[in-house]
Amino acid sequence: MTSRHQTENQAASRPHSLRTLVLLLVAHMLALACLGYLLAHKQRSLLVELAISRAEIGIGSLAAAMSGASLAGLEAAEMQRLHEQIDSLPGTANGIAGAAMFTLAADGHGRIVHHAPAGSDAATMEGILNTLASQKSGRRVSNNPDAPALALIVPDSGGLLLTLDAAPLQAEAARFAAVLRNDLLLLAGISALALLFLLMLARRRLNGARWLPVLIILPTFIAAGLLALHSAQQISGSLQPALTAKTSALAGSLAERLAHAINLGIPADKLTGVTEYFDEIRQRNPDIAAIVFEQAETSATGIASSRAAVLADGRQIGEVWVVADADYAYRALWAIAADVAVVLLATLLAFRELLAAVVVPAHDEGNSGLLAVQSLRLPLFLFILSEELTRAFLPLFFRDAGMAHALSADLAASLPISVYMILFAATTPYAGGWADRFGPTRVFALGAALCALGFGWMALSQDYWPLLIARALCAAGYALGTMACQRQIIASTADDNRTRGLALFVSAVSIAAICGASVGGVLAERMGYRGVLLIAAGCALAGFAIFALSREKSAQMPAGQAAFHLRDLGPLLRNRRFMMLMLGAAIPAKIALAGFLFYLTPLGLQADGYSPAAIGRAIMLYYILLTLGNPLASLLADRWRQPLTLVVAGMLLTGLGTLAALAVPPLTDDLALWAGIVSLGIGTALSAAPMQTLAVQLAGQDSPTPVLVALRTLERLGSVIGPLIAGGLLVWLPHHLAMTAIGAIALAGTLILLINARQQREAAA
Amino acid sequence: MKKLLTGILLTACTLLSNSAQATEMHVLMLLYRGCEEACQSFQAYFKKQKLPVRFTLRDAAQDKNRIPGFIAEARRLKPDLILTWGTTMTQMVAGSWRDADPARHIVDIPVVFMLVSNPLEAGLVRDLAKPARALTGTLYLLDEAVQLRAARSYFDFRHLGLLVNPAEPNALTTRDRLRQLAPQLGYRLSEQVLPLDAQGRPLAEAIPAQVRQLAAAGIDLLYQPPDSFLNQQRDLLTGSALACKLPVFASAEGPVVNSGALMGVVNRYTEVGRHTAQQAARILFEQADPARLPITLPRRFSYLVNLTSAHRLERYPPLKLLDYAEIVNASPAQSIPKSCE
Repeated sequence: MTSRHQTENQAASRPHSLRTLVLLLVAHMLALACLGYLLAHKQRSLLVELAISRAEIGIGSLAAAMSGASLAGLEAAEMQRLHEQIDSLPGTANGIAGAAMFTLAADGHGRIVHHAPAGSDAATMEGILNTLASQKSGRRVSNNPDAPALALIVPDSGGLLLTLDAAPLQAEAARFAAVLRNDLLLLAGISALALLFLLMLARRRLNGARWLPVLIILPTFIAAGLLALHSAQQISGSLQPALTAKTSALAGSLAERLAHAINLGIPADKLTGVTEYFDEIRQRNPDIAAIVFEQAETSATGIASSRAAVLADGRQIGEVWVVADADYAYRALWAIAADVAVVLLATLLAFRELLAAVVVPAHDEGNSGLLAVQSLRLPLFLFILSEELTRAFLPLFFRDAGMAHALSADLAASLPISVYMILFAATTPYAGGWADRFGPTRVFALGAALCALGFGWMALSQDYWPLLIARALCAAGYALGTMACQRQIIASTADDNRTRGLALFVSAVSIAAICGASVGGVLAERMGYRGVLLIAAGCALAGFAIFALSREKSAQMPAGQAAFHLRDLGPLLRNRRFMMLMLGAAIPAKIALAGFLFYLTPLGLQADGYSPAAIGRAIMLYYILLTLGNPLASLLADRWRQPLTLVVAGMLLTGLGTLAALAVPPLTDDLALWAGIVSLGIGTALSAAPMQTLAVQLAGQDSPTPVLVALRTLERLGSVIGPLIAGGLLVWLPHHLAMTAIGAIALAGTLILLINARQQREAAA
Repeated sequence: MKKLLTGILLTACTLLSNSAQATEMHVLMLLYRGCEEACQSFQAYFKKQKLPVRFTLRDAAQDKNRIPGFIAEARRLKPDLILTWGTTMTQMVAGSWRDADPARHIVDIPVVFMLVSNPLEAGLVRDLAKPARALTGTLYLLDEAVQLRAARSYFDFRHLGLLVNPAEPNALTTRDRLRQLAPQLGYRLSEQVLPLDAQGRPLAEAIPAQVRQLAAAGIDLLYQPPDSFLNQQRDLLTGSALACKLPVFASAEGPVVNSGALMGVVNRYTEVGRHTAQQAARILFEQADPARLPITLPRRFSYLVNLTSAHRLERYPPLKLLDYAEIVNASPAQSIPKSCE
């Protein structure tokens, strides 16, 4: 009997394995491709940066001259001597395509007053200038490899604009990309074979071993490591000519300045301010290691160094020697180390998910219910991933869209989150019933379709208001999709398995959140917000595709769960103790989550100069803490059996953590935000599960389901008003203090809860 | 027939000559120190722009008593515009805004002034943005704060010296301003007041001694204000300063370009003349109302460095300053004393 069962299962799992294999290979290729993309992008941006800083050398003294002239009262249009110097700038040797002098109006709009070469189009240059207007610093750069540009602002006067020749940069980038592609194909092929081999080995020998994911990920990691190493060498080599060109330009420019001074009659040994002049330059150019002026012949050593002779009256007075930092390329690559780590971590987690979906632990072999749930993990993972990919940047995206239509920045960013939460809260209670009536597959399909539609619309729309509708679609789709999955799990599992089934659900959600928040940020930084939105749409659709192809769709429909009606909320709303919990803990918790983590954090970190990738990592930390904290919390809950204590402890921690913002002058803004994130993560981990338990206890009803539904629905209220409150606070407070205000709400709620609990105890006593 | 042709020719000639007379403008230039660069560049502007202007020049040669005669002549000549050079000339020709007297002053012909250090202090107008009378003109001096900050980019001076000419109306204003700026810009100010003779004129012979005293007080930079007398005595002043190894910062170009001052942040006189001519042209050819033309600075300033003085003082401009300064080479016309005694 057992052997037949086993054979049947093996037969059932063989197509499984094929699917697993394919998915693992796909994930493997995707991970390596992502890595390759990061490396290529980094190389391109390093090339562009070097080209820009080299061009900047050409105009460094010009900008200083403009500044000095403006100090002395000159208007940009009047600086004839400098206009002549601008005319001499464009050239193929220095990579400068166009140069211009401009003035800045009070509204930040730039106007070109002089440009070179004479035939170039001032209107185009003005257009480029005004795309740089959104940057606030004195040195504005466009790193776009197709149109690199640099604008140096001269205070109270205007500035200088340079547009660079993109062709040589693109050629070099293409060359590196070709090498990278070859490397990638080779490594991907070899490691794919290794993966296959390992999988087959694993199936035969190590079925269900816990360290299987670690083993399976090895080919990917090794391939990634080799790719990175080889690319580092290649990048260093490809930057070499650019660095040499720069040191040569710098040496020449400095030698000229010195010769000019000496030709004016200043004795070489009486030159003043030379060291200060050099130091200023080295500060602006971190890739330059040393600049030396020797008044005799010297022998130059070092990588990418250049010498230029200082000539006066035809005699050589000395040499300027500029040495570039040999480790520049390697140091620069370290900048993307964090992003690479994120991609590898996400890959590891994704692999784990994929394997868990199929390689079933031995003791679960016969359990068709759990098999069904396992097969749900991947679609659910992808589905949740689609939403989480946008975490790191969505408020920023909406703020930019809103500002383009003259909306207040903070309101523009908070409105979509609230709209989302309203729709989510409204749809969730009914979604479960629909899943029961129409079948989870159909509802999941609808959910995925709505999500994909919503993300796609956001990616393509240029207006602001339609974005709100798209967001509403996403919310409805998300609610439908997640409830459909939940129903499916409930339907497929019997009571004894249900807890494990739901736990798997929760873990899929957490892992998707961790991967999504971080990888979303990494991708957004390179391909822009809209690109990531399109990927999110793709993920939603992929999730559905896998769900549809899954063969473990439950054959039986469960006994109809009671449909949800709003009137069910009635008795709960009248239940004072239940409502105290809602007002004191549940709602403030969601205010903190939606208002602080989803809304304030991206806006605040971006204001502190964080890239989308860095923001993604910060949000990822919350999810990591949440995931790690949960088992600890369950342990404590079982130990103490006092859910109220844990809820209070969690909320207190959340609130107190936000007080870090008050330490801000010694502490930096962004560190205060990180402290808030950490305390929110740990606090939520501690209080989330006990809150559910407590809610059910306080409700005192027979069936927990309506209570949980009510809990979720009322909580959403917090999610709706959270971003709106935070947005309102931003009118008066900086981001970190707005966080504290929200923490104060949590603390106030906890106080209410404690007072109420004490009253109850006294009343009972 | 012949009569008809003659008639037509005569009419044509009259018409032509009338129109020629109508378009050519007459500008009366009342100067105080002859026609220097500003005066020349003023005239050159009209030539360059091909605007038909006839100039009549009258030079007071630094004698105030000649001015009433010019005023009388102006009433006779009835020019289209009067250009006045300097504060004294302008005050006497146009009077102050409070009590311009048609008997003593010109009120019915537009007057444009240049090289007036401080039109507000001189009582010429109430508001630089809107003169509200038939008098307008141009500024030429930078605010002292801007000048001293520019001086700092040469070297970090800590103790400033000033020679005050009590006969000069603007001298006290400058002195007060420098006193006011001392704590803000972080320097000490030492002053020496020039003695006056029986006629109330400052004594040039006192200059070297006063420079020596300032040197003894430990100044590291001597400020030369935009004072006509001191400008006249620039060789004596800068020569004594050089002998005492003192750099001189000049607020006008003369001491730097033609004498021994080390540096100056100035409007070149040619620029002043051009800027003023632009304004005059608007009145003459665009029917602009002088009461509405704001009194402004020219746009082009120069940071002048006298490298010869730099050599003598062995104090050279830093490399960064060389990126935008204008280098000149000049010495005082008379010989420099050997030492500071």
